Amino acid sequence: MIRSVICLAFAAGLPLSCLADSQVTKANVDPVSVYERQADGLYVRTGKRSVEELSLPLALLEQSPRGYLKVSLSGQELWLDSMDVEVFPPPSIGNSGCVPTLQDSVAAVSRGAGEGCP
Amino acid sequence: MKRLVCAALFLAVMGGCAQVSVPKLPIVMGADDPTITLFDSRFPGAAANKEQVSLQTTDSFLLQHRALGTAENLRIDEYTNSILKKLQRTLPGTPAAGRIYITPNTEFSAASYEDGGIYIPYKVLGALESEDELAALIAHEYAHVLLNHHKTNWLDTASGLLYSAGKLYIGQRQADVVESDLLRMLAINEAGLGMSQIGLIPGLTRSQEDEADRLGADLVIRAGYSYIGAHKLLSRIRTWDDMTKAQREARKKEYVQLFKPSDNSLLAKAIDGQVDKLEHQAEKLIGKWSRHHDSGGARMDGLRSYIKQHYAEVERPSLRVDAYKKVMAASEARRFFEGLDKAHVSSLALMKQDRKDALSRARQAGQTPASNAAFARHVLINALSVNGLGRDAVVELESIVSDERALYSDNLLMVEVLREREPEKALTLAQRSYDRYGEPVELLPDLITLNKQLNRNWIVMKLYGVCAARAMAATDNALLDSCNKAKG
Repeated sequence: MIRSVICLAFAAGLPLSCLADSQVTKANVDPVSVYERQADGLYVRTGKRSVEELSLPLALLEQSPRGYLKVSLSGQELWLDSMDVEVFPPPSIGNSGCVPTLQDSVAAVSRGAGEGCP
Repeated sequence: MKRLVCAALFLAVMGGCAQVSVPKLPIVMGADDPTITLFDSRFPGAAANKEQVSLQTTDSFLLQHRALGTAENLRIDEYTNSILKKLQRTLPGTPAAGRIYITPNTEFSAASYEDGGIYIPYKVLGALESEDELAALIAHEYAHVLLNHHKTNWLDTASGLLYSAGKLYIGQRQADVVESDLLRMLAINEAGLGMSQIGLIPGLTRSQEDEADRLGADLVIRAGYSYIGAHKLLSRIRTWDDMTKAQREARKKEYVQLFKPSDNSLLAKAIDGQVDKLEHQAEKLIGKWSRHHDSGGARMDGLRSYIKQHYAEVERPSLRVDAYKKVMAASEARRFFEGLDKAHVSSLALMKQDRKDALSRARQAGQTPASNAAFARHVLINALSVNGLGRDAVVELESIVSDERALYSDNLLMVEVLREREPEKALTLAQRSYDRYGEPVELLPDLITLNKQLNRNWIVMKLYGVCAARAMAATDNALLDSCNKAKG
């Protein structure tokens, strides 16, 4: 619970940094391209790995502002394209569909009298 | 049979055939060459570096005010429209005019209309994290405008408008509303407002959504944004799709809770029937709309293949997180969002019949930069009314209906206020509302009654013809009953 709260707090201020529990859970393509970050901050494709080789899920170590994801595979750090894989938890929708009523509660405001949001 | 033909002719004459607008034929476009981008096939030529942001997109702007309206914020409006300008500058020739508006809606969605009006709920702005994502959302909606998608779906959009809060209004008018029912009447109206928003969803087909995704991707890339923003946006849409499925299941129960089990008043019965009927219609509309849309997941697959096919070697800029946060995380924007939240909480409190909380929250909203939003003013009027502050409510109501940004429902309320005391003024306002808000059918019985009150019998007959014809065209018995009752 506390970890979730800290994570949410980070998500509000530092959207790309809260990766403590994030994982790459699924590949959308097979094989998956792997990349290396160059000194100039650009990413160069260095090869491809089959989904089997990736042995998902993998802990997500870093997300780059260019949309690459750093993971560690057999002790080797490499980057994947965020378009090629799924990350859990997915990007947040904030409190869409809800409004905060009290400090710790939210209510659905889509229509009707409103229950708490899922 | 002869009698039916005669009746139809009579209604056509009385209703005025000139008022029946013939929709434009759908624009037929040739198949795109898959080897070139949608942008190149539809918009060949160099970027003209021109922009065209409308001062106001009148039609869709007024349409929005049949539900929750818009919420103006100078800084946010400037920022969102500057992104639209960047996208427009990539096009050859003079771009189609457009304008971005923020709405007080809480859904994770957006909508565009034929006149270039693009409407983005404030909750979306609170959830996104980069300018690239917002640019992707705007580009997608603007692509619908560029591709003339709304012109091919006039029927769906028009039919959607039938499901408006006005249906509830008719239900209420059929019952004898007494003072003690005011709270419940306003509570039900609040529920109806949300439902009106569903009616405003333009009906677009799945292939049109795909086209808009592809052209949207072209636009953001040409404007120098990262397509990762579009991918991330679709991922959020997928999350929203999953969440709303669960919410839809709970809706029926929520409506039932608006009434106490022991409540057997005439009004409660009449409105309950209307809510049931509306709920059924709204469910059908949502179902139809959902079938037209691929899930966020399927759209992500489509975007990925399109990007890989056409932009595999395009360099990706970094997501513009700081530029976005500078506007959306600024204290002014946060207070604006909080103000809209408070207006919603006031509306919720009213639906739960907690008068004091409704007023307190409405007043809190009034202390924020969202105080000028028509929705914030609307909840204050309602809260004042149910707290025995009717005079203050009328002052606020008079002030807002003189403003073109007033919600349609506040115009209806003002008509009620003026009906007995100043029928001439009530009629002028009802007629103006009818003309401004797209000729809503539910106003016809009022127009008939008010004209009758002022002994304008020829106009009564003419309006009755329009009312009966529209009721029959929509097979709407409740409306027909209201027309008959109004004519007497």
